[in-house]
Amino acid sequence: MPEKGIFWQKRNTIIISDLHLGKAGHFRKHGIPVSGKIHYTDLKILESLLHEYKPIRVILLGDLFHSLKNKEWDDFLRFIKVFDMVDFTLVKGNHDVIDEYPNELEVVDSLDLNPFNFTHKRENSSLYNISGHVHPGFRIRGMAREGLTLPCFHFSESFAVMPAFGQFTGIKKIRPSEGDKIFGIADDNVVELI
Amino acid sequence: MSDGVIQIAKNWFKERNWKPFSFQIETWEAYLAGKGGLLNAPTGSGKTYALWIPCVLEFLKENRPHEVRPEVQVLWVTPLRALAKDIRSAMQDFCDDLDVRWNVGLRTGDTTTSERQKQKKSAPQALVITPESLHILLSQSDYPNYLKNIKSIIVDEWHELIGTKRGVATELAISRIKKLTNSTVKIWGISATIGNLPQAKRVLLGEDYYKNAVSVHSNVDKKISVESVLPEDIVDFPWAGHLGTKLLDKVVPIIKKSETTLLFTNTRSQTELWYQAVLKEAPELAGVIAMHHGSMDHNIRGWVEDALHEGKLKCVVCTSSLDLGVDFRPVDTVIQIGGPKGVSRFQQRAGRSGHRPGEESKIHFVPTNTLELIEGAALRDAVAAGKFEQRKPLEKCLDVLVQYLVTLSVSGGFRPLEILEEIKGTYCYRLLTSSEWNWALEFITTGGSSLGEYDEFARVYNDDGIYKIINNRTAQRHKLSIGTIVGDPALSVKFLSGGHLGTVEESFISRLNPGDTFWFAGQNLEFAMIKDMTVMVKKSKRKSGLTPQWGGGRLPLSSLLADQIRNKLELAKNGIYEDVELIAIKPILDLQTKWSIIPDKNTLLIEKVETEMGNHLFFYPFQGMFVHEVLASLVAYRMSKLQKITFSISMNDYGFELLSDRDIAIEEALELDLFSEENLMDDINQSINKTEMAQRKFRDVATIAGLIFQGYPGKNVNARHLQANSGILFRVFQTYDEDNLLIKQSMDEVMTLQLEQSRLMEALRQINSQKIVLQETAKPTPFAFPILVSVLRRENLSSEQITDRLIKMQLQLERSLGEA
Repeated sequence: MPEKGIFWQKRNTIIISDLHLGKAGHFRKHGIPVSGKIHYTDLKILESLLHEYKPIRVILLGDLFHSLKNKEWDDFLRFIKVFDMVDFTLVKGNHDVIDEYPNELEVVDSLDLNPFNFTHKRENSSLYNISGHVHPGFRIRGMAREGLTLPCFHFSESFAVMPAFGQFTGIKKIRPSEGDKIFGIADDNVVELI
Repeated sequence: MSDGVIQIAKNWFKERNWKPFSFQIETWEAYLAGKGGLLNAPTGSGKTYALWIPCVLEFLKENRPHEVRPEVQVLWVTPLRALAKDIRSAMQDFCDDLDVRWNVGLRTGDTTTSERQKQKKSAPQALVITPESLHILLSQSDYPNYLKNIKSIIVDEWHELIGTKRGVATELAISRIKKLTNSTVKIWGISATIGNLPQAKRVLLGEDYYKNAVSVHSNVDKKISVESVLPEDIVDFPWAGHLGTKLLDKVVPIIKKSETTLLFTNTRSQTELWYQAVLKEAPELAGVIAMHHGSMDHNIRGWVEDALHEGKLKCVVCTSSLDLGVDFRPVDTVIQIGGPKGVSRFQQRAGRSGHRPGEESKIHFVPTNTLELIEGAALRDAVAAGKFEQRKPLEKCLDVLVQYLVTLSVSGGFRPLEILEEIKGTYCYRLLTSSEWNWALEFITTGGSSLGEYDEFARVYNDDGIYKIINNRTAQRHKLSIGTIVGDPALSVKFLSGGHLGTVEESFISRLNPGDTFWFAGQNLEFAMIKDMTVMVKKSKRKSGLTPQWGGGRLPLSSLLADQIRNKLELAKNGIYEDVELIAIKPILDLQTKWSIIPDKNTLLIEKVETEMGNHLFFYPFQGMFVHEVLASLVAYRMSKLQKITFSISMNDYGFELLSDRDIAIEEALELDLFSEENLMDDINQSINKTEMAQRKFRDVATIAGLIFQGYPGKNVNARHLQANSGILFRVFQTYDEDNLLIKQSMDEVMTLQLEQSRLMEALRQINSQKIVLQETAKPTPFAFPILVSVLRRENLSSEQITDRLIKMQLQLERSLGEA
């Protein structure tokens, strides 16, 4: 979906990765004034997805929260309380350093749901691995030398990497291998790039 | 009394069998009379003695040579670290000769911590310092005591600083020290000739000082002779291009004949290419030829500079990195490859040779294409007429102001009203409004009014009227990011076996695969891997390889030089050929006349031609490529309102091109006044992607204002969680904090610096007074050809959505894949 998530119809589950909530607060704490409103937008988009797809479960593929607890963490807790009909599962990422998680949020290091294996960083698995972490982007070039880097989904034969869901995140250019599929996100569309 | 001390200096000169120049004596007298001012003198003219000597004499007026207190008396501000070392020793030598027990200290980014501690404990009487280090001094809590006895601040090479944010930082530091010394400090600047010297004086001295200050001009005239290297056969010489290696066989003999040659190129990649080319043509130069550019490692550059001094090198291929600096006495020949785009820069480079007073400086000009030969003649005229470009000072740089305020908060805090009064006395901020000031204060304390939440923000606190920083780590982080030079995001290049070579841009490396080779610092390197922001390489024996492109660096033709070029063309049009260069290219100009015309100064020439690429329109306003880029977009936009059409745009310094697959109804468009000044700003905003340009400017602005932290030296990793790319921050601010003045500043910088707004207006006025001549030609003319093949080609992206752009670009992508 163009909101940078995957809807797994069979299991009625939404998968998103790398929200990096709390990053604005972390920056503010270090004297860089970034408005926390950016994370309201993150949650608002997630909310609209919950209304639209009505999933029973949301899998957060790591880097849910950028730093130690701050006000923005409370916002998130409030959010999952409101949507208590949805199960939230966090597959822990390198940024998830909070030591105490509420009961409403299931926290695991990795998650196997046949035929998929969910981790934050890419791992080898006998199942098809789906991960986040790298914030993949793909650069396309036009004739007039103008370039454009788009966030993208990266699918290869044995694994897939998801784009970062959070607004306050960067993009890392990736280089796909032969035979990989890349789906870029342009405005409100998911476009097959290769 | 001052007569007495001046005699000391005269004697010192006599003992060396030298005679002081009259400008030196004039400066001594003015200084000792308590004046400040601006000394206009070129490098190598004895300008250091003109101002250093009176500083010492002033001390001798009231003290005996041994009566030295540990107080800083003189700050000698220099823009270049490389200059600092030599100047310091010249200054120290003079003191030693007179047995004045002064200690001249050096304070730059290279000064060791222990040395800095020593300077803190026992202050040297004079400090040679860079603007950045001066601000670091201001971030130390005891600075008011340390600096309050200063008698004078001398700013060397002011022409290099004015017009930059480092210049603004210098203005701010001066405003602070004036207050600390109760306005007793004398301010002096030393500047090479620029077109706006009176303004340069005003900017440096400040609104409160400049009216009482003097101007001293050195009468040391430097003769400069310009000699173009002419191609054997003009018909064979390329019409377009910018490398110039075609004339290699003429350049190498010049190098061989000379003692030491500086070979100036315009870009860093051109430097790499020329270095290779010269070595290939003359392998015997191996070992005595070196290169020097801004991306090379500091130590390697230092080695090259030292070797130059000692006369060990026969040739150095370099960029503007050697434009200014200490005199390299052994240098007797200067070669300029390609148009230098400005008269001042050309003169400065020419002045690198023949340092002895009275000696003639000779510069060889090597054109890279046919039309560039005109520049050789134009430059000679401008030099002979003593014309120089202006260097415009910057105004209201809020990013530098924010940095400065945080600096003062680190060192014990500041009272806003006091500081406001001081900065209003500087040229840069003389027109600062109270709302801009309040915004800056709010920005460093609460993060800006629209942030909404104040709880966690930690930078500067308002502690009962004094703004200060409490958090030690914030303070430390700020001290490390003081400065206004923002590096490109660059990766350092290192051998696997150790040894640092320099930096390359990330975008270049990202195109390489392990095993690929590229030329860097004159060596062919094999790319092994990227590790921790470092490119690991090993030496390669292969002969082929890519040359990295470094961004930026390309400057547009100055209007002064453009004007000279038009003079030359007008003469040629009237059949007057006086210069060897123009005589050489007469066959080409004849061809231009045959196919079209040569425009005189009252004519705007437009050429229309059809080729297999489509329909071309060429316009020749001669206003430099930045202005052409805007003009081209503007004209394209206005024409697309008349007919449905998409253009591709291309430009160089002489003109621009619109290319379309349809017939362009230029006659109709001209009747409707294509260059009207009506709705100008609206149309420009519609026609160019200002936001994208502003986003690029914002990277520097945000870094200076402390929003982007470049990391602790040597321990990049710790700060990683605080790194956000400026593009993201730009979007965040634009969406959630629209009143942010740093965004506005970026927009303004785009308008004034990038798009050269004032020059654009001037250009339009000129065009509107000109007669427009439309010529249909059968083939692209000699004027048109370089634009046609120019690499600066841009799609005019009117109002297409990203998705549309994407689909179009994807089609192109597929096509090129299919071809490969």
